[in-house]
Amino acid sequence: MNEHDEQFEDFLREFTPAQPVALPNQPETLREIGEPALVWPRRLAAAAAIAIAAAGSAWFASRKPVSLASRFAQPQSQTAQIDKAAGKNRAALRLTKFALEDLARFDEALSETTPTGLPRFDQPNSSLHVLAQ
Amino acid sequence: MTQRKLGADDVRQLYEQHGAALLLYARCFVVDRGLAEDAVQQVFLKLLRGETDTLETPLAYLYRAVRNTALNTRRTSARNVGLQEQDCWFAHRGGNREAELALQQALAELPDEQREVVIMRIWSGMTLDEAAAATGVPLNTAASRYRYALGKLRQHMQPYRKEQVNLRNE
Repeated sequence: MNEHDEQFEDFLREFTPAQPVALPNQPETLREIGEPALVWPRRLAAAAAIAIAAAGSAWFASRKPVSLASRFAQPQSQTAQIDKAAGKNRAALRLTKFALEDLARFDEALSETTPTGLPRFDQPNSSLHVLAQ
Repeated sequence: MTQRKLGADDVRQLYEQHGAALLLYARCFVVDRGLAEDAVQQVFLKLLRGETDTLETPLAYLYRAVRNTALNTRRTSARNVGLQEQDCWFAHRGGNREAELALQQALAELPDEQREVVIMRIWSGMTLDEAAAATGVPLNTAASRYRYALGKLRQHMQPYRKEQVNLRNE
């Protein structure tokens, strides 16, 4: 190493490399940088979520099986009500048609339908009964 | 070679003495200053936590560890920041900003193996023997790398040295 080299080395040492940020002092801070401090709580939360999911699956599997047909089957009373309502609608349509086309047949049909198809007015709570009063 | 654990005070002392040079070394591999600092800190934090045993020569270990960490960072980081966008690697005693940037450029242009010997010798104060041991090459190889590097840097920095000499003479 000659004198020129040493002079040039001194010249280079006039340049100071930029300082890095200081090392953290607290061990907690060290943990945060290297290994997140929330690792254990996160692991516990993940384990709890898995346990809940497993318990839910076991409960679901242990339930009494319900057949699809029974789930969609409607109660008999409900079906009867629907049939009755459809019958009334059909009767009303038939009456309307006769009223427009053939009055003689309309009178006949009206006398047939009255006991079953038309609203009753002899019940104490029926609206026709109330209006008649 | 026996291994030992460094105490926290030893680690902090090493960081104060050589942190800047190691940061400079890391920035040769990772241009982004933040990523380079992360690489240096990772190495020191491992030492502080006692996760790593160092060999008899901690400085040689630090250079190797910083180099490996910085190279890993470079591989995993998608960031590719141009040299001009970064702040300067050096602060010149006389505040010559132009010379700072010139030295940065000259250092960046050196081959890795030449650059590391220069950084170890000039800014970490290692002998050529120590630099040779740290880089795992014979002394002659380290010495010739250093000589070549110094020649290139001298050529690159000549205008700024002249300027300095002129200023002194005035």
